[in-house]
Amino acid sequence: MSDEEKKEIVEPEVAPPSPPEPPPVVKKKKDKRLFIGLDCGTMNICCARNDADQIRITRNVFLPISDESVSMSELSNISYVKSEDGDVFIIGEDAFKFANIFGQAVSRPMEKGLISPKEISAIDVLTLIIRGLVGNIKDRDVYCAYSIPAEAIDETRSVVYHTRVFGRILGALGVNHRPVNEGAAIIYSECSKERFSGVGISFGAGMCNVAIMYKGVEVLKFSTSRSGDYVDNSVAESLSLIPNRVTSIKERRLDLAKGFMGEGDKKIRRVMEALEYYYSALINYTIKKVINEFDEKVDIEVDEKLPVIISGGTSMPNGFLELFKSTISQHDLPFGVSEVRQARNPLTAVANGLLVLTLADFSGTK
Amino acid sequence: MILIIKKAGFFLTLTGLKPFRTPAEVDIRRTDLNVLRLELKRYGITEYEIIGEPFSEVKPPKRKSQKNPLAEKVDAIYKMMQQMLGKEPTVEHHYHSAVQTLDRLIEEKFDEPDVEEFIPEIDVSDLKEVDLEYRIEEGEDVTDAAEELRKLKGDS
Repeated sequence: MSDEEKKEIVEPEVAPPSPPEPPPVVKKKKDKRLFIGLDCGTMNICCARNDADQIRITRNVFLPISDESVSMSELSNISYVKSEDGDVFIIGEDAFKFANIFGQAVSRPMEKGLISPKEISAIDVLTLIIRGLVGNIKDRDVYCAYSIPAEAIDETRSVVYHTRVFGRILGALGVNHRPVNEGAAIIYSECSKERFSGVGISFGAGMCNVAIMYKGVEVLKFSTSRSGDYVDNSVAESLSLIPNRVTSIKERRLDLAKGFMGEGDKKIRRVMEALEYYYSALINYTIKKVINEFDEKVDIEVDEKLPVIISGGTSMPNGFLELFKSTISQHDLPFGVSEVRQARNPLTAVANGLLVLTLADFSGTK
Repeated sequence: MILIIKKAGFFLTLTGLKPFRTPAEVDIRRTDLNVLRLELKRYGITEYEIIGEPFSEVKPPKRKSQKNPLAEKVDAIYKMMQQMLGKEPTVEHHYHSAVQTLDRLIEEKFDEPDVEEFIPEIDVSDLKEVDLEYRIEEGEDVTDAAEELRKLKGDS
Protein backbone atom coordinates (compact mmCIF):
# COMPACT_ATOMS: atom_id res chain seq x y z
CA MET A 1 0.00 0.00 0.00
CA SER A 2 1.37 3.33 -1.07
CA ASP A 3 1.64 6.26 1.22
CA GLU A 4 -1.17 8.04 -0.61
CA GLU A 5 -3.49 5.07 -0.21
CA LYS A 6 -2.66 4.91 3.46
CA LYS A 7 -3.73 8.55 3.86
CA GLU A 8 -7.05 7.85 2.21
CA ILE A 9 -8.00 5.24 4.68
CA VAL A 10 -10.32 7.01 7.01
CA GLU A 11 -11.59 5.49 10.06
CA PRO A 12 -15.35 5.12 9.92
CA GLU A 13 -17.10 7.77 11.91
CA VAL A 14 -18.89 5.34 14.13
CA ALA A 15 -19.00 6.26 17.74
CA PRO A 16 -17.55 3.59 20.01
CA PRO A 17 -20.16 1.73 22.02
CA SER A 18 -20.87 3.80 25.10
CA PRO A 19 -20.61 2.11 28.46
CA PRO A 20 -23.91 1.42 30.20
CA GLU A 21 -25.26 4.40 32.09
CA PRO A 22 -24.37 4.06 35.76
CA PRO A 23 -27.37 4.05 38.04
CA PRO A 24 -28.09 7.48 39.43
CA VAL A 25 -26.08 7.98 42.57
CA VAL A 26 -28.30 8.56 45.54
CA LYS A 27 -26.17 10.40 47.99
CA LYS A 28 -26.87 8.97 51.41
CA LYS A 29 -26.64 11.70 53.92
CA LYS A 30 -23.97 10.70 56.40
CA ASP A 31 -25.07 11.00 60.00
CA LYS A 32 -22.73 13.55 61.50
CA ARG A 33 -23.79 12.67 64.98
CA LEU A 34 -21.56 10.60 67.19
CA PHE A 35 -22.65 9.14 70.52
CA ILE A 36 -20.24 8.37 73.31
CA GLY A 37 -20.30 6.77 76.76
CA LEU A 38 -17.34 7.84 78.90
CA ASP A 39 -16.61 6.10 82.19
CA CYS A 40 -14.35 8.36 84.27
CA GLY A 41 -13.07 5.96 86.91
CA THR A 42 -10.36 6.36 89.52
CA MET A 43 -8.25 3.60 88.01
CA ASN A 44 -9.44 3.40 84.40
CA ILE A 45 -11.04 5.69 81.86
CA CYS A 46 -13.14 3.86 79.37
CA CYS A 47 -14.76 5.11 76.17
CA ALA A 48 -17.49 3.50 74.05
CA ARG A 49 -18.51 5.01 70.69
CA ASN A 50 -21.59 4.05 68.74
CA ASP A 51 -19.60 3.90 65.49
CA ALA A 52 -17.01 1.45 66.81
CA ASP A 53 -17.34 -2.15 67.94
CA GLN A 54 -14.49 -1.82 70.38
CA ILE A 55 -14.21 -0.02 73.69
CA ARG A 56 -11.01 1.82 74.54
CA ILE A 57 -9.59 1.72 78.06
CA THR A 58 -6.56 3.33 79.58
CA ARG A 59 -5.20 3.56 83.09
CA ASN A 60 -6.01 6.87 84.72
CA VAL A 61 -2.51 7.45 86.03
CA PHE A 62 0.51 9.51 85.06
CA LEU A 63 4.13 9.89 86.06
CA PRO A 64 5.74 13.33 85.99
CA ILE A 65 9.45 13.23 85.18
CA SER A 66 12.01 15.74 83.99
CA ASP A 67 13.03 15.46 80.33
CA GLU A 68 16.65 15.41 81.53
CA SER A 69 16.12 12.10 83.31
CA VAL A 70 15.05 10.28 80.19
CA SER A 71 16.19 10.26 76.57
CA MET A 72 13.81 10.62 73.67
CA SER A 73 14.78 7.14 72.44
CA GLU A 74 13.63 5.68 75.73
CA LEU A 75 10.28 7.32 75.17
CA SER A 76 9.68 5.76 71.76
CA ASN A 77 6.47 3.73 71.76
CA ILE A 78 5.52 5.26 75.11
CA SER A 79 2.41 7.38 75.76
CA TYR A 80 3.64 10.67 77.08
CA VAL A 81 3.00 14.38 77.08
CA LYS A 82 5.71 17.00 77.04
CA SER A 83 5.28 20.58 78.18
CA GLU A 84 7.12 23.65 76.87
CA ASP A 85 8.84 23.86 80.25
CA GLY A 86 10.47 20.47 79.75
CA ASP A 87 8.15 18.47 82.00
CA VAL A 88 7.31 15.03 80.73
CA PHE A 89 4.18 13.18 81.85
CA ILE A 90 4.11 9.50 81.02
CA ILE A 91 0.47 8.53 80.90
CA GLY A 92 -1.58 5.36 81.08
CA GLU A 93 -0.21 1.85 81.50
CA ASP A 94 3.35 2.99 80.68
CA ALA A 95 3.37 5.17 83.80
CA PHE A 96 3.43 2.02 85.94
CA LYS A 97 6.41 0.57 84.05
CA PHE A 98 8.45 3.75 84.37
CA ALA A 99 7.40 4.21 88.01
CA ASN A 100 9.14 0.94 88.81
CA ILE A 101 12.24 1.95 86.82
CA PHE A 102 12.51 5.31 88.60
CA GLY A 103 11.37 3.95 91.98
CA GLN A 104 8.63 6.55 92.04
CA ALA A 105 4.92 6.27 92.81
CA VAL A 106 2.52 7.07 89.99
CA SER A 107 0.29 10.13 90.27
CA ARG A 108 -3.42 9.71 89.96
CA PRO A 109 -5.62 12.47 88.59
CA MET A 110 -8.43 11.04 90.68
CA GLU A 111 -8.58 9.93 94.26
CA LYS A 112 -11.46 8.04 95.88
CA GLY A 113 -13.59 8.45 92.79
CA LEU A 114 -13.15 12.22 92.45
CA ILE A 115 -10.67 14.55 90.77
CA SER A 116 -7.79 15.05 93.11
CA PRO A 117 -7.09 18.68 94.01
CA LYS A 118 -3.59 17.59 95.10
CA GLU A 119 -2.51 16.95 91.53
CA ILE A 120 -2.21 20.31 89.83
CA SER A 121 -1.45 18.72 86.48
CA ALA A 122 -4.47 16.41 86.75
CA ILE A 123 -6.83 18.44 84.60
CA ASP A 124 -4.34 18.83 81.74
CA VAL A 125 -3.47 15.15 81.82
CA LEU A 126 -7.12 14.12 81.98
CA THR A 127 -7.90 16.37 79.02
CA LEU A 128 -5.25 14.67 76.92
CA ILE A 129 -6.24 11.17 78.04
CA ILE A 130 -9.87 11.85 77.15
CA ARG A 131 -8.95 13.46 73.84
CA GLY A 132 -6.87 10.39 72.98
CA LEU A 133 -9.59 7.95 73.99
CA VAL A 134 -12.45 9.76 72.29
CA GLY A 135 -10.43 9.81 69.08
CA ASN A 136 -11.22 11.68 65.92
CA ILE A 137 -14.37 13.78 66.18
CA LYS A 138 -13.63 16.26 63.45
CA ASP A 139 -16.79 17.55 61.73
CA ARG A 140 -19.00 15.46 64.00
CA ASP A 141 -21.78 16.51 66.36
CA VAL A 142 -20.76 14.62 69.46
CA TYR A 143 -23.09 13.73 72.33
CA CYS A 144 -21.55 12.18 75.42
CA ALA A 145 -22.80 10.90 78.77
CA TYR A 146 -20.00 10.74 81.31
CA SER A 147 -20.07 8.95 84.64
CA ILE A 148 -20.11 10.67 87.99
CA PRO A 149 -20.36 9.10 91.44
CA ALA A 150 -23.32 9.74 93.69
CA GLU A 151 -22.74 11.79 96.83
CA ALA A 152 -21.03 9.58 99.40
CA ILE A 153 -22.97 8.73 102.54
CA ASP A 154 -19.86 8.17 104.64
CA GLU A 155 -17.80 11.15 103.52
CA THR A 156 -18.39 14.86 103.12
CA ARG A 157 -16.67 15.50 99.78
CA SER A 158 -19.00 16.97 97.17
CA VAL A 159 -19.09 15.65 93.62
CA VAL A 160 -19.97 19.09 92.20
CA TYR A 161 -16.39 20.12 91.46
CA HIS A 162 -15.65 16.78 89.86
CA THR A 163 -18.77 16.99 87.69
CA ARG A 164 -17.97 20.49 86.54
CA VAL A 165 -14.33 19.72 85.72
CA PHE A 166 -15.24 16.82 83.46
CA GLY A 167 -17.96 18.97 81.90
CA ARG A 168 -15.45 21.68 81.18
CA ILE A 169 -12.93 19.24 79.69
CA LEU A 170 -15.55 17.79 77.36
CA GLY A 171 -16.79 21.27 76.49
CA ALA A 172 -13.26 22.32 75.58
CA LEU A 173 -13.03 19.31 73.28
CA GLY A 174 -16.25 20.38 71.54
CA VAL A 175 -18.40 17.58 72.97
CA ASN A 176 -22.03 18.00 74.11
CA HIS A 177 -22.11 16.36 77.49
CA ARG A 178 -24.21 15.38 80.46
CA PRO A 179 -23.27 13.71 83.74
CA VAL A 180 -24.93 10.41 84.61
CA ASN A 181 -24.74 8.38 87.78
CA GLU A 182 -22.31 5.47 87.57
CA GLY A 183 -24.56 2.94 89.30
CA ALA A 184 -27.47 3.80 87.01
CA ALA A 185 -25.22 3.26 83.98
CA ILE A 186 -24.78 -0.37 85.02
CA ILE A 187 -28.53 -0.88 84.92
CA TYR A 188 -28.77 0.77 81.49
CA SER A 189 -26.11 -1.65 80.32
CA GLU A 190 -27.24 -4.88 81.95
CA CYS A 191 -30.98 -4.74 82.66
CA SER A 192 -32.77 -4.17 79.37
CA LYS A 193 -34.50 -7.55 79.73
CA GLU A 194 -35.83 -6.46 83.13
CA ARG A 195 -37.06 -3.18 81.59
CA PHE A 196 -34.31 -1.26 83.33
CA SER A 197 -35.28 -2.26 86.85
CA GLY A 198 -32.52 -3.45 89.13
CA VAL A 199 -29.82 -2.72 91.66
CA GLY A 200 -26.51 -1.71 90.10
CA ILE A 201 -23.43 -1.88 92.30
CA SER A 202 -20.14 -0.67 90.91
CA PHE A 203 -17.14 -1.69 92.99
CA GLY A 204 -14.56 0.68 91.55
CA ALA A 205 -11.11 1.51 92.85
CA GLY A 206 -12.03 4.64 94.79
CA MET A 207 -15.71 4.32 95.59
CA CYS A 208 -18.57 1.92 95.58
CA ASN A 209 -21.57 3.29 93.70
CA VAL A 210 -25.06 1.97 94.18
CA ALA A 211 -28.18 2.80 92.19
CA ILE A 212 -31.64 1.29 92.40
CA MET A 213 -33.83 1.84 89.37
CA TYR A 214 -37.41 0.87 88.73
CA LYS A 215 -38.51 0.83 85.11
CA GLY A 216 -35.93 3.39 84.09
CA VAL A 217 -36.59 5.77 87.00
CA GLU A 218 -33.89 6.28 89.62
CA VAL A 219 -35.31 5.36 93.02
CA LEU A 220 -32.13 5.59 95.08
CA LYS A 221 -28.48 6.34 94.50
CA PHE A 222 -25.54 6.75 96.81
CA SER A 223 -21.90 5.93 97.09
CA THR A 224 -19.58 4.82 99.84
CA SER A 225 -15.90 5.57 100.18
CA ARG A 226 -15.05 1.91 100.64
CA SER A 227 -14.00 -0.10 97.64
CA GLY A 228 -10.78 -1.41 96.06
CA ASP A 229 -8.41 1.17 97.54
CA TYR A 230 -10.00 0.68 100.94
CA VAL A 231 -9.21 -3.04 100.76
CA ASP A 232 -5.62 -2.47 99.63
CA ASN A 233 -4.94 0.26 102.18
CA SER A 234 -6.50 -1.70 105.04
CA VAL A 235 -4.43 -4.78 104.23
CA ALA A 236 -1.28 -2.69 103.84
CA GLU A 237 -1.88 -0.95 107.14
CA SER A 238 -2.63 -4.11 109.06
CA LEU A 239 0.48 -5.89 107.74
CA SER A 240 2.79 -2.83 107.54
CA LEU A 241 3.20 -3.08 103.79
CA ILE A 242 3.22 -0.58 100.93
CA PRO A 243 -0.24 -0.46 99.29
CA ASN A 244 1.32 -0.95 95.81
CA ARG A 245 2.68 -4.32 96.95
CA VAL A 246 -0.76 -5.41 98.14
CA THR A 247 -2.36 -4.25 94.88
CA SER A 248 0.19 -6.25 92.92
CA ILE A 249 -0.51 -9.46 94.89
CA LYS A 250 -4.24 -8.87 94.63
CA GLU A 251 -4.19 -8.43 90.88
CA ARG A 252 -1.88 -11.38 90.21
CA ARG A 253 -2.87 -14.01 92.74
CA LEU A 254 -6.12 -13.39 94.60
CA ASP A 255 -8.73 -16.09 94.06
CA LEU A 256 -11.58 -15.76 96.53
CA ALA A 257 -13.03 -19.12 95.44
CA LYS A 258 -9.84 -21.09 96.11
CA GLY A 259 -8.94 -19.30 99.32
CA PHE A 260 -5.51 -18.52 100.70
CA MET A 261 -4.60 -21.87 102.32
CA GLY A 262 -3.04 -23.32 99.19
CA GLU A 263 -0.48 -20.52 98.95
CA GLY A 264 3.00 -21.83 99.76
CA ASP A 265 4.74 -18.56 100.58
CA LYS A 266 3.81 -17.60 104.13
CA LYS A 267 4.12 -13.83 103.62
CA ILE A 268 1.94 -13.89 100.54
CA ARG A 269 -0.51 -16.24 102.25
CA ARG A 270 -0.91 -13.69 105.03
CA VAL A 271 -1.60 -10.92 102.52
CA MET A 272 -4.18 -13.08 100.77
CA GLU A 273 -5.81 -13.97 104.06
CA ALA A 274 -6.09 -10.27 104.90
CA LEU A 275 -7.40 -9.52 101.40
CA GLU A 276 -10.16 -12.10 101.86
CA TYR A 277 -11.02 -10.64 105.25
CA TYR A 278 -11.32 -7.09 103.93
CA TYR A 279 -13.16 -8.15 100.77
CA SER A 280 -15.71 -9.83 102.99
CA ALA A 281 -15.92 -6.72 105.20
CA LEU A 282 -16.37 -4.53 102.12
CA ILE A 283 -19.26 -6.60 100.79
CA ASN A 284 -20.94 -6.78 104.18
CA TYR A 285 -20.61 -3.01 104.67
CA THR A 286 -22.05 -2.28 101.22
CA ILE A 287 -25.07 -4.54 101.67
CA LYS A 288 -25.83 -3.04 105.09
CA LYS A 289 -25.71 0.44 103.55
CA VAL A 290 -28.07 -0.61 100.75
CA ILE A 291 -30.58 -1.84 103.36
CA ASN A 292 -30.26 1.28 105.54
CA GLU A 293 -30.53 3.73 102.65
CA PHE A 294 -33.49 1.91 101.12
CA ASP A 295 -35.32 1.81 104.47
CA GLU A 296 -34.67 5.49 105.13
CA LYS A 297 -35.17 7.04 101.72
CA VAL A 298 -37.41 4.89 99.55
CA ASP A 299 -41.12 5.25 100.15
CA ILE A 300 -42.54 3.22 97.29
CA GLU A 301 -43.47 -0.42 97.34
CA VAL A 302 -41.40 -2.36 94.83
CA ASP A 303 -43.57 -5.38 94.19
CA GLU A 304 -41.24 -6.99 91.65
CA LYS A 305 -38.09 -8.88 92.46
CA LEU A 306 -35.03 -6.96 91.32
CA PRO A 307 -31.80 -8.30 89.87
CA VAL A 308 -28.60 -7.21 91.61
CA ILE A 309 -25.80 -6.50 89.16
CA ILE A 310 -22.21 -6.48 90.37
CA SER A 311 -19.64 -4.60 88.36
CA GLY A 312 -16.36 -2.69 88.53
CA GLY A 313 -12.70 -3.68 88.63
CA THR A 314 -12.77 -4.60 92.32
CA SER A 315 -15.40 -7.27 91.56
CA MET A 316 -13.09 -8.98 89.07
CA PRO A 317 -11.29 -11.56 91.28
CA ASN A 318 -12.55 -15.08 90.86
CA GLY A 319 -15.01 -15.97 93.62
CA PHE A 320 -16.21 -12.40 94.26
CA LEU A 321 -19.71 -13.09 92.96
CA GLU A 322 -20.09 -16.21 95.12
CA LEU A 323 -18.84 -14.33 98.18
CA PHE A 324 -21.36 -11.58 97.47
CA LYS A 325 -24.20 -14.07 97.01
CA SER A 326 -23.38 -15.85 100.22
CA THR A 327 -23.15 -12.56 102.15
CA ILE A 328 -26.38 -11.11 100.78
CA SER A 329 -28.24 -14.31 101.62
CA GLN A 330 -27.49 -13.65 105.30
CA HIS A 331 -29.33 -10.32 105.22
CA ASP A 332 -33.01 -9.51 105.21
CA LEU A 333 -33.44 -7.12 102.29
CA PRO A 334 -36.30 -4.62 101.99
CA PHE A 335 -36.95 -5.75 98.40
CA GLY A 336 -37.07 -9.08 96.62
CA VAL A 337 -34.02 -10.22 94.68
CA SER A 338 -34.55 -12.20 91.48
CA GLU A 339 -30.87 -13.00 90.99
CA VAL A 340 -27.37 -11.75 91.69
CA ARG A 341 -25.18 -11.66 88.63
CA GLN A 342 -22.01 -10.07 87.37
CA ALA A 343 -22.01 -7.56 84.52
CA ARG A 344 -21.09 -9.14 81.18
CA ASN A 345 -17.87 -7.15 81.26
CA PRO A 346 -17.31 -5.46 84.64
CA LEU A 347 -14.67 -3.16 83.17
CA THR A 348 -16.80 -1.74 80.37
CA ALA A 349 -20.36 -1.97 81.73
CA VAL A 350 -20.51 1.67 82.82
CA ALA A 351 -19.28 3.04 79.47
CA ASN A 352 -21.65 0.67 77.69
CA GLY A 353 -24.62 1.80 79.79
CA LEU A 354 -23.79 5.45 79.23
CA LEU A 355 -23.77 4.80 75.50
CA VAL A 356 -27.19 3.10 75.75
CA LEU A 357 -28.60 6.17 77.50
CA THR A 358 -27.04 8.65 75.07
CA LEU A 359 -28.42 6.74 72.10
CA ALA A 360 -31.85 6.44 73.72
CA ASP A 361 -32.00 10.16 74.43
CA PHE A 362 -30.55 11.57 71.25
CA SER A 363 -30.49 9.13 68.36
CA GLY A 364 -34.23 9.48 67.75
CA THR A 365 -33.93 13.23 67.43
CA LYS A 366 -32.70 15.07 64.34
CA MET B 1 -57.93 3.53 86.07
CA ILE B 2 -57.95 7.31 85.86
CA LEU B 3 -55.64 9.92 87.30
CA ILE B 4 -57.38 13.18 88.19
CA ILE B 5 -55.43 16.34 88.83
CA LYS B 6 -57.72 19.27 89.48
CA LYS B 7 -55.17 21.97 90.00
CA ALA B 8 -54.41 24.03 86.93
CA GLY B 9 -51.10 25.22 85.66
CA PHE B 10 -48.95 22.11 85.42
CA PHE B 11 -47.44 20.74 82.25
CA LEU B 12 -46.56 17.12 82.90
CA THR B 13 -44.47 14.58 81.06
CA LEU B 14 -44.94 11.24 82.79
CA THR B 15 -43.53 7.88 81.79
CA GLY B 16 -45.85 6.02 79.46
CA LEU B 17 -48.20 8.99 78.97
CA LYS B 18 -48.34 11.75 76.43
CA PRO B 19 -47.46 15.17 77.85
CA PHE B 20 -50.55 16.95 79.17
CA ARG B 21 -51.67 20.09 80.93
CA THR B 22 -53.71 20.22 84.10
CA PRO B 23 -56.49 20.18 85.09
CA ALA B 24 -56.76 16.76 83.50
CA GLU B 25 -58.24 13.29 83.73
CA VAL B 26 -55.86 10.77 82.24
CA ASP B 27 -56.23 7.07 81.52
CA ILE B 28 -53.43 5.34 83.42
CA ARG B 29 -54.41 1.71 82.91
CA ARG B 30 -51.07 1.00 81.23
CA THR B 31 -48.97 2.98 83.63
CA ASP B 32 -46.99 1.62 86.52
CA LEU B 33 -48.46 3.13 89.66
CA ASN B 34 -45.23 3.14 91.63
CA VAL B 35 -43.44 5.02 88.90
CA LEU B 36 -46.37 7.38 88.47
CA ARG B 37 -46.47 8.24 92.17
CA LEU B 38 -42.74 8.76 92.21
CA GLU B 39 -42.86 11.09 89.23
CA LEU B 40 -45.82 13.08 90.53
CA LYS B 41 -43.92 13.51 93.75
CA ARG B 42 -40.92 14.77 91.84
CA TYR B 43 -43.12 17.35 90.13
CA GLY B 44 -44.30 18.42 93.57
CA ILE B 45 -47.86 17.31 92.87
CA THR B 46 -49.35 16.12 96.08
CA GLU B 47 -53.03 16.58 95.41
CA TYR B 48 -54.43 14.14 92.94
CA GLU B 49 -56.85 11.25 92.77
CA ILE B 50 -56.58 7.83 91.24
CA ILE B 51 -59.96 6.32 90.56
CA GLY B 52 -60.00 2.57 90.35
CA GLU B 53 -58.12 1.70 93.49
CA PRO B 54 -58.14 3.01 97.03
CA PHE B 55 -55.67 5.80 97.26
CA SER B 56 -55.56 8.37 100.00
CA GLU B 57 -54.69 11.89 99.06
CA VAL B 58 -51.15 12.82 99.96
CA LYS B 59 -50.88 15.66 102.42
CA PRO B 60 -48.78 18.71 101.59
CA PRO B 61 -45.20 18.26 102.73
CA LYS B 62 -44.46 19.04 106.33
CA ARG B 63 -41.45 21.12 107.12
CA LYS B 64 -38.74 19.04 108.71
CA SER B 65 -36.78 22.02 109.86
CA GLN B 66 -38.17 25.43 110.72
CA LYS B 67 -34.93 26.84 112.00
CA ASN B 68 -32.90 26.82 108.85
CA PRO B 69 -32.38 30.41 107.63
CA LEU B 70 -32.95 29.37 104.01
CA ALA B 71 -36.26 27.79 104.96
CA GLU B 72 -37.28 30.95 106.80
CA LYS B 73 -36.45 33.05 103.76
CA VAL B 74 -38.63 30.87 101.55
CA ASP B 75 -41.46 31.17 104.08
CA ALA B 76 -41.14 34.94 104.08
CA ILE B 77 -41.15 35.12 100.28
CA TYR B 78 -44.15 32.83 100.12
CA LYS B 79 -46.13 34.94 102.57
CA MET B 80 -45.31 38.05 100.59
CA MET B 81 -46.37 36.39 97.34
CA GLN B 82 -49.58 35.14 98.92
CA GLN B 83 -50.49 38.66 99.94
CA MET B 84 -49.78 39.89 96.42
CA LEU B 85 -51.41 37.10 94.45
CA GLY B 86 -53.93 35.59 96.80
CA LYS B 87 -54.17 31.81 96.92
CA GLU B 88 -53.03 31.28 93.39
CA PRO B 89 -52.57 27.50 92.90
CA THR B 90 -49.43 27.83 90.78
CA VAL B 91 -47.73 29.80 93.52
CA GLU B 92 -48.67 27.17 96.04
CA HIS B 93 -47.31 24.47 93.79
CA HIS B 94 -43.98 26.25 93.44
CA TYR B 95 -43.88 26.79 97.16
CA HIS B 96 -44.39 23.10 97.84
CA SER B 97 -41.69 22.21 95.33
CA ALA B 98 -39.29 24.65 96.94
CA VAL B 99 -40.02 23.29 100.39
CA GLN B 100 -39.40 19.75 99.27
CA THR B 101 -36.14 20.65 97.58
CA LEU B 102 -35.02 22.62 100.57
CA ASP B 103 -35.83 19.82 102.99
CA ARG B 104 -33.97 17.36 100.81
CA LEU B 105 -30.92 19.59 100.75
CA ILE B 106 -31.06 20.11 104.48
CA GLU B 107 -31.42 16.39 104.99
CA GLU B 108 -28.44 15.66 102.79
CA LYS B 109 -26.41 18.25 104.71
CA PHE B 110 -25.51 19.90 101.46
CA ASP B 111 -23.88 23.23 102.09
CA GLU B 112 -23.74 25.42 99.05
CA PRO B 113 -20.35 27.12 99.04
CA ASP B 114 -20.30 30.92 99.06
CA VAL B 115 -17.84 30.84 96.19
CA GLU B 116 -17.67 27.97 93.77
CA GLU B 117 -14.36 26.17 93.61
CA PHE B 118 -11.97 27.49 91.03
CA ILE B 119 -11.63 25.48 87.85
CA PRO B 120 -8.94 26.66 85.45
CA GLU B 121 -9.64 27.13 81.77
CA ILE B 122 -8.68 24.02 79.85
CA ASP B 123 -5.52 24.88 77.97
CA VAL B 124 -3.28 22.13 76.70
CA SER B 125 -1.76 24.13 73.88
CA ASP B 126 1.65 24.03 75.58
CA LEU B 127 1.62 20.24 75.72
CA LYS B 128 2.95 18.08 72.97
CA GLU B 129 1.15 14.80 72.93
CA VAL B 130 2.22 11.46 71.59
CA ASP B 131 -0.40 8.89 70.56
CA LEU B 132 -2.13 7.50 73.59
CA GLU B 133 -1.84 3.76 74.03
CA TYR B 134 -4.97 2.04 75.16
CA ARG B 135 -6.39 -1.40 75.69
CA ILE B 136 -9.22 -2.68 73.59
CA GLU B 137 -12.23 -4.56 74.92
CA GLU B 138 -14.94 -6.00 72.75
CA GLY B 139 -17.90 -3.63 72.46
CA GLU B 140 -21.57 -4.54 72.14
CA ASP B 141 -24.30 -3.53 69.77
CA VAL B 142 -26.44 -1.42 72.09
CA THR B 143 -29.01 -0.30 69.52
CA ASP B 144 -31.77 -2.62 70.77
CA ALA B 145 -31.22 -1.74 74.42
CA ALA B 146 -31.28 1.97 73.54
CA GLU B 147 -34.49 1.50 71.58
CA GLU B 148 -36.14 -0.29 74.51
CA LEU B 149 -35.06 2.44 76.89
CA ARG B 150 -36.41 5.11 74.55
CA LYS B 151 -39.77 3.32 74.38
CA LEU B 152 -39.86 2.99 78.14
CA LYS B 153 -39.21 6.68 78.54
CA GLY B 154 -42.11 7.32 76.21
CA ASP B 155 -40.17 9.22 73.60
CA SER B 156 -41.02 7.00 70.67
